[in-house]
Amino acid sequence: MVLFGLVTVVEAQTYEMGDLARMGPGYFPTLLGSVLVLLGLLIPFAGDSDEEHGDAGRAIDTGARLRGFLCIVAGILAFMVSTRYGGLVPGTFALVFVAAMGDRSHTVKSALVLAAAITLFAAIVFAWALQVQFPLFRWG
Amino acid sequence: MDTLTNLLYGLSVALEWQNLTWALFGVIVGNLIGVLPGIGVLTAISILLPLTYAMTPVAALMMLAGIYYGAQYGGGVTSILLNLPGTPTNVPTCLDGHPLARQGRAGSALFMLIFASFCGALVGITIMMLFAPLLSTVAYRFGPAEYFAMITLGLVAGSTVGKGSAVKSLAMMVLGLILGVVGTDINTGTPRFTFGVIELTDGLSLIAVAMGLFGVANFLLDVNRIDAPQRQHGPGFLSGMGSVRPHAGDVRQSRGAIARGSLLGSGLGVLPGTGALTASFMAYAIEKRISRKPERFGNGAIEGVAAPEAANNSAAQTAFVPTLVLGIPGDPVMALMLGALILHGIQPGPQLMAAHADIFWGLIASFWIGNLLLVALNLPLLGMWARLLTVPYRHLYPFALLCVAVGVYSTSASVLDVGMVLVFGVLGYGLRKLRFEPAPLMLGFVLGPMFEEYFRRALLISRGDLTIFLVKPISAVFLGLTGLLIGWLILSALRREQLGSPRPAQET
Repeated sequence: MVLFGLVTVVEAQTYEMGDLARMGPGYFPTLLGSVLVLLGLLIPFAGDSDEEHGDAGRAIDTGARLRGFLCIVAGILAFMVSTRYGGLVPGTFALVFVAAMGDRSHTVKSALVLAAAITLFAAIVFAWALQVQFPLFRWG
Repeated sequence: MDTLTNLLYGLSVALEWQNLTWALFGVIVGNLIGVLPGIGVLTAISILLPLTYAMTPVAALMMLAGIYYGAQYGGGVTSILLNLPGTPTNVPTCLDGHPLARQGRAGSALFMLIFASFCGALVGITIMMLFAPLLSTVAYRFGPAEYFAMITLGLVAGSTVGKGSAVKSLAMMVLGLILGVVGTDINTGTPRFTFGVIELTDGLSLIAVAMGLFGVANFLLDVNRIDAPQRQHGPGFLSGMGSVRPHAGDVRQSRGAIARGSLLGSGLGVLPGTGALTASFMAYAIEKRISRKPERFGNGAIEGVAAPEAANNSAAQTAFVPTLVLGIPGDPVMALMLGALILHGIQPGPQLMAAHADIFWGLIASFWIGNLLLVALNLPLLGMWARLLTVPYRHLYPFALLCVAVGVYSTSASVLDVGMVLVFGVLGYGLRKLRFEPAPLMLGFVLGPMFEEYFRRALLISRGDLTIFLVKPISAVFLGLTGLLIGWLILSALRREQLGSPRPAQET
């Protein structure tokens, strides 16, 4: 947080400050950055309220957590790449397949089935029912 | 009589075929979202935001609003049946609703849930109809100083009233304000914080930020963690449900609770920073305090279901008043609504009621219709909602993720925005891990540009004299309230320190 604030202040210095009556573009960010630094410094002293957000699920080991995290991130990256070069259908398939592999109870086969089903569904809903403007397939 | 003619006009707008369909769609989705744990209102609204591009603003707002109040209904159902609040606002409902279900009285608890929600919503809408025109005439006289002061109060109250550490929430709010600065400075045209990336000169996309923080971040957190409740509760968890049947005397017993809850909720909904969440907790606490037999609460008191549900539904309606009339949202959900309006080129504010009467009165009329629909839907469909809970999360989240990706991509046809979602998703995940709440960030992000604008304009008028904020009475009152709030926060933090207890009492 302190870091965020400092970066903001530093970056804001590159813009014209102006004065209170005629503020330049740099005035407001500088102010905000300073406040953030201040708050950031306060956080360690503020004490933490130990309310874990709705930890209703099962406890999991780091391996599973890491796998879920990486697969979702990779899934979105896969979507970006394959949509750019291949269109909606490959993008959808790649995203769902890779992301679904993040859940431990999915096997390669079940993820493939899920991906295929959702792709079919998505093609119908997005392209036909909602007329979302982008191609199902695209080459290059 | 003016109100009546306006309402009739609104009805004609709301009953247009297209608007009606979208309102219905929103209500159903909201209901569904409320039932499914793991997907919140914020997530749902951010996912569906891009869809609204193709709609008229009226239909868009009706749909988004439908999600919001529909979720208030749906969330109560799982609270009662499974002790799993679908949304945070339904937490108090669990306290008495679930014990009732355990005693085999789920049917009467569910009936009370729907009945109280409906009553609460009606009171909320009525108050909104009477109060909003009044407020908008007052609001015409507000200058930049007043707006600045009001936004300050809204920001501070909105970010500290929620859960989590107040200092951290404030820091998140300020971070949101800073993110709001990104883009071209409106007064001088200087691009700020763009680091040379041309796409950033338009500012960060609201949709990308919201989807990242509330969509992707949630999936990152919950993957491998949320199980279908069937496994937790055993296969027989549906059997005790029975049908929705009022218990003799339930309504009579809860009449007072519903009335108090509705009024409390309506009042709190209008104030900035206190929304449905605060309302339902407070309503529950009040019922418990004034009850002649407080020990019944927590063991299945029907008033314990009625009061919070009436309160959160009325608050969900009146929360639209400051958002539409002043352009100042009370909580992050409303901030997203505001963002949606601005995306459609509609500037909320006192002139909204005159310039876009179809939106305002159409929305109110759609509230009436939507709530009727919810009652009609929920009575027969309760069993189906409960069964939906058995859809495993591992099938749900890849699909939701796809909606996020396609939604963002279709708004801008640029892969960069999808990357932005990813960045904010990972950021939101990290922040949540460190126990920072992303909701205040959203509030700051939406209000940031306005906040800066009013600040600068006010000081331009006063020629740099900071006392302008204190000389104007309305602005002074709002700033005073903000000061009081901060003072109270510091005080309570100090007291906590003195007691030496690391775990603070539940703040509502």
